[in-house]
Amino acid sequence: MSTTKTKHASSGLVALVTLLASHSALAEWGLNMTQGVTSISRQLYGLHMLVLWICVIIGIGVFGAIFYSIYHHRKSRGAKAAEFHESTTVEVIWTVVPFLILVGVAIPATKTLLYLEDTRDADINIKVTGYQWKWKYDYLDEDISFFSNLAPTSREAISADPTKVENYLLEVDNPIVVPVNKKVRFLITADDVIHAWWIPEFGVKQDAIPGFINDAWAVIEEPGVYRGQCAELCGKDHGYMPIVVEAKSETDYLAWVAEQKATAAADAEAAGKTWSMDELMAKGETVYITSCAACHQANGEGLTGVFPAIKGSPIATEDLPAHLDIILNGKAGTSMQAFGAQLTDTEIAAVITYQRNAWGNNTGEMVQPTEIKAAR
Amino acid sequence: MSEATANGAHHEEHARGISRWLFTTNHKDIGTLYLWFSFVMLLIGGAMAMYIRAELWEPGIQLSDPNFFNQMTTLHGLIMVFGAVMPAFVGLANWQVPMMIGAPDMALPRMNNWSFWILPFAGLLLVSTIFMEGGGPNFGWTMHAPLSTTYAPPSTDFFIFAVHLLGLSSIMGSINIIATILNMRAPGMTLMKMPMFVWSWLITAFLLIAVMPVLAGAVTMMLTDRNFGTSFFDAAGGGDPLLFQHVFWFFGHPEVYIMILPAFGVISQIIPTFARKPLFGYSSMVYATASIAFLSFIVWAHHMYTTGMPVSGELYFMYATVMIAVPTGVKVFNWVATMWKGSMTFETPMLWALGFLVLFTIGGFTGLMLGVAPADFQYHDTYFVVAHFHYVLVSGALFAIIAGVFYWLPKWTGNMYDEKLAKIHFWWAMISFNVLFFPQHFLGLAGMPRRIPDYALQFTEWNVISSIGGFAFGASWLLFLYIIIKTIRGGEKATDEVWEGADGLEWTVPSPAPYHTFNTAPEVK
Amino acid sequence: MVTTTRGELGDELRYILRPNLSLSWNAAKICFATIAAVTLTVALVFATLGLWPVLPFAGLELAILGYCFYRCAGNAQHCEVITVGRDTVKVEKGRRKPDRCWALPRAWAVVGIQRAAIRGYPSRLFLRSHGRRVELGEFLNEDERRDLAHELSRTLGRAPA
Repeated sequence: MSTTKTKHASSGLVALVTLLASHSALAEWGLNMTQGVTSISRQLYGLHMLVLWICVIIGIGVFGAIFYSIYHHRKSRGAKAAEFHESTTVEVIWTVVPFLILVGVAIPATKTLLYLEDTRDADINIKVTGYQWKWKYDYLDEDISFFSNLAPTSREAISADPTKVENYLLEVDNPIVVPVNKKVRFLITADDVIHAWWIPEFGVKQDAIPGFINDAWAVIEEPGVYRGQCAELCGKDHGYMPIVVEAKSETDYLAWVAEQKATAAADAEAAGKTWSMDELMAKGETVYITSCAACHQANGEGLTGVFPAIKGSPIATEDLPAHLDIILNGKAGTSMQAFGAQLTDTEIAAVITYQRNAWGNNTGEMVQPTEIKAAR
Repeated sequence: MSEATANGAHHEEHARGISRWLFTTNHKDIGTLYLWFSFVMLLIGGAMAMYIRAELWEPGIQLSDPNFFNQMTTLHGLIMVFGAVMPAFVGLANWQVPMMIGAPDMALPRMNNWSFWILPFAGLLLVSTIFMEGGGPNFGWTMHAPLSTTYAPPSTDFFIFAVHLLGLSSIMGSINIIATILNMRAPGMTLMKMPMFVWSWLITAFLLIAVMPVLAGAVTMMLTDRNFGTSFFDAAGGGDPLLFQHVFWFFGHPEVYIMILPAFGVISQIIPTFARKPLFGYSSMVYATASIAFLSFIVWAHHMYTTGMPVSGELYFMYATVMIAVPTGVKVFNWVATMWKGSMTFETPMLWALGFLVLFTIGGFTGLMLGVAPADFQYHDTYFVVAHFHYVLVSGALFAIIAGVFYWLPKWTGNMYDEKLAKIHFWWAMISFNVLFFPQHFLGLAGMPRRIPDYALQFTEWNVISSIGGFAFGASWLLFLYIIIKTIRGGEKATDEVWEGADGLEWTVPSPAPYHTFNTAPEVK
Repeated sequence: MVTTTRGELGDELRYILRPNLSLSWNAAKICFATIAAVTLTVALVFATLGLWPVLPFAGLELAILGYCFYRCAGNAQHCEVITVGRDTVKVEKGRRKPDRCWALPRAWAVVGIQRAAIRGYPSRLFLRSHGRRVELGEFLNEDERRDLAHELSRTLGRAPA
């Protein structure tokens, strides 16, 4: 793919051939909507195909008449223009018939709509919160809550070579896990701007709106990994906040829940120990890439006029309390979020240390998780 | 006639050069200005589309950054809607409406001048936001709060001012058109004898007047939310971000009909001419246009099926929305019936009209699919929607504008255009348009969201094809420009009637139309 | 529009020039009321939802619309009456009643059309006599004006200059 860049400057056609050939393994030439893995998505597919076929049949009629007329009623074939210019009967027919067809479409559509909006009696409730540009998942029945960001493999490939990355832009660091054959209810909201949570294979798309909670549901019938994306323009990285759902059997799901709780406990313990510079820098870089790089860029230079640079900034090189404050509490009226609620003490300590020692910000200062705990 | 030489020096001379165009109150001059302005905007908006297609040529980010991409999609939409399509139709109305109803000029010539000259400033202001600190508006032409308020770049205040100016221009333009059509019809030109183009513009102008204050109010509330501490749309301050969408689409849905109804009017003039047969079902065409306009007010929330409306609301908006298919279908059937048993020839305007008829119908079909609320949960905010509205706005509105330009150009310039080149341009644009937009249906159904600068690998193939179509379609407009300039500079002289089957008052005056057209107001039989 | 009437004694010829107006004032009021009703209903509904800024824009727009309808109706009341008598040509211009009057000696009266310097711009029609000049029918169309010029010239007994 990196080679095609030079080629398309010289010849679009050559590039096309190369590109399509290089993709033959990946080529899906996707044409139609997925049938998905839930009863909702199958009903949506059925409705889609119903309306599509109605349109095709009407289209054959209308386009047939147009092309018949173009061919036969042309002056060059000696056609003489008729005089007629109205006919009440015909006009009534082509008003009433489409109306009846529409009634025929509206009936199944109404049924499906009522079905998909019926979110009662859910087995599992998961709160989904959209942030710029990541998703947060809270399992309301368990004490599990985490953020889900674009996977670093994808982020690093954006300006490099996406074709080498598996599931480019459709991979996250922390997928959500749900059991199959249970009614999972998603309560969808947002923290900043409007997002939309969409998994095509579930037939679920709901806007995530700050101040509102929308809901949707799915009973997933087959274990597997299902991928989706944010579907409502939410700012710069709208294209980079994928959704990944892993559907597992009941037992695997319960094992996952137990594992999550164990990890949470381990994290809490790790926050108490003293970290070395290398450990902090290594962890800090990961946190930085997932949580900060979207705006402040991987090189810390930000985007002029939109997102300020961290490299060389007074906050990241001198004023430590201000640095702590802006990361914990954000900056009102800007896109700078309050990360205090999003990251653990360890992660914040690591990322502050990283920001103060990377790209020539050589302060040599270290911040420990315990200090973050104290500062909260 | 010797008066001119004897006393000419004492009288005020008509302005020449630039001041002629600055101070003109002549409907034909102003029509020309509108059309050139909209063509320049078409090229600017088109250049942005070229950027978009180039960025989507392959996965990953190659040209700039995602923020710039968002500015391009936003400005492309705004410029095409407010800068290209709407002014082009006002330009056609300025040229044709007075001629078609037998009036000497527009009813309010001086206001006509103002409503045009606001536009270049508004356009310039809008485009200049790209160069401001923090970049231009990047929240989509639908400007949903709070992305367009709390989270928007500083240039948004200038963008809001530009929208106000554009709205003011539209308001004055449409008031002028209403006043002209109602007040200045020649004796005998009753409402039900008016050409369909005049009818469609009368209805469009009513729509514009009804919804423009809503747009002005909406952007003003954005402004106060941003700068004066109000919380109309800010959930944190007790406001309601969803209400913004209701307000926006209450304006936005009629707005799309504002862009398509005059197109219906142009097509209803052209098809009868080249079929040499009167328009089928004239009165049902008038009623269909009026009912589409009425329905456009009560269906706005079909853009919001996924926002979590109550089910009853979703059901109501679905039923009302699919109802639009009935009057729209009547129009399509009537056009086909007009062609039926006609004696057709296929000069360039007719080719564009037929292109419109076929492709707009496809856009209508996808519109019906999108109107079905549950299915829309899968279509919403995907490339399927992008394909749909480009089929109705490019092969709908824009194709009709081009059809109208070729149809009336001989009347405006006195010269025939180069038929061979014009046909080449038509087929070039027609084919590349479909290569550009048809694959986007597949992309949307396969799950590609709209407004993303980068995409997952499985969407690559159709995006490449779409981009190739895009570059070809973009280039076709340079040929169009050449054809127009060539026609203005010379060519075979056009007859008064121009087209063999032409019917209507505008064809009774000499080509090119003298500035002030009619003698004793013509009798309408 | 130009209408011609004979004077009472049959020795006067009178031309009445008016702009064409196809909408009566009553119909204009109905139109305005309809548009105002729709626009204000929309604006008031939004106002009750708390979105009052729509209202002033609706009001402003209706004010412009109303003013434009009023102007159109007012413009159409303009009237020019040309009375060609035995000795004088009288020109009266005004709205309801004549605001300005000219009386020119018929014997010296000449009708002239001045062409625009730029192709296609409107021509101007003058009645001249004894060094005085009155412009006629500025609101008429090109051919309307030319026909009037020919009519007047014929009446005055000589070909148009």
